[in-house]
Amino acid sequence: MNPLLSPDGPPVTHLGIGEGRIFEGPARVHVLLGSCVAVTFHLPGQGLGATFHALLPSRAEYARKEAHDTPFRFVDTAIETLLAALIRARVPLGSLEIKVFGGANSLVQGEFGIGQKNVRAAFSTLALHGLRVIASNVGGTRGRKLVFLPATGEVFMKTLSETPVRGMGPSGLS
Amino acid sequence: MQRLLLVDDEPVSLRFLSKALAGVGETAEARDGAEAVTLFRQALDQSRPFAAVVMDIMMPGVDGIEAVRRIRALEAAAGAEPCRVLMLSCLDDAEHQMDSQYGAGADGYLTKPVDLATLRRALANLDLPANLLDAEE
Repeated sequence: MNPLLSPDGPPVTHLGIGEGRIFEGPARVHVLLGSCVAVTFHLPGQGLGATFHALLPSRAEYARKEAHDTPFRFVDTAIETLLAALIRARVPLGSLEIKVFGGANSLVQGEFGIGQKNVRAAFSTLALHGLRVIASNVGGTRGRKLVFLPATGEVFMKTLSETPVRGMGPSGLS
Repeated sequence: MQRLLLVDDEPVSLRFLSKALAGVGETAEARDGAEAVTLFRQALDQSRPFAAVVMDIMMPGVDGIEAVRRIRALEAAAGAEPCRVLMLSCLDDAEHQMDSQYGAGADGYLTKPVDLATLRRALANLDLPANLLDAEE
């Protein structure tokens, strides 16, 4: 087993829907994705990383009336929010290693195609900032479990056997 | 031992892949999409299917995305278990990454240049030869 994944490895943080943040110390970030999207950011050599767990493509199109949603609920505002925080932390955005995960599509959800729209939103928002994606694992009909190590940028991923179903709670598939 | 099909028109890339993945499985090589599809069909016919394909995109003749489409069609026609397909390309734009995965049915996408550790992790994430998260659970 990779020592970073062992019980003695970095502390585990479970990232639920609508959550995202920068990690500056050792951490192991668990994310369960169905049609949701996670984008991972890592600054090589600095032990710094960031990620989020977003449910829907864009705030402008999908925000609920009178709802006070976190910016990390939407792919576009999640990326904008994290990039702004990284800029405040004096991170040169052009040096970031960026990866995109999730976006499974399933008829079970009754919203076929939302996964693909989420991934499209991620690529589009990153492209607006001139940022390139070095790796992606997106689409399909099955959920994904991610373990992201922000300090190294490594992402360990497993495709889940079950079909993603909405409404499994913040730590469940989305 | 699992069989891997490595597809790239650059001999240097094929040499790197072949060396890097020798411990993961028995490798075969193709230099364009058409040759890849031919080798894939032969493997299915001989009941020695490939467990994974590492596929470049920009190649003469049949490109990598079209080759993946044809490979998925061959699998469907044969009722075969889908193999893992990892795209490995210098193209880093959204269209190629999305078309490969949502359109053609690839399982993952890496951009060149890629280091050995990243390549092996991407394959491990596709359970080749084993998924490191299985040991964690």
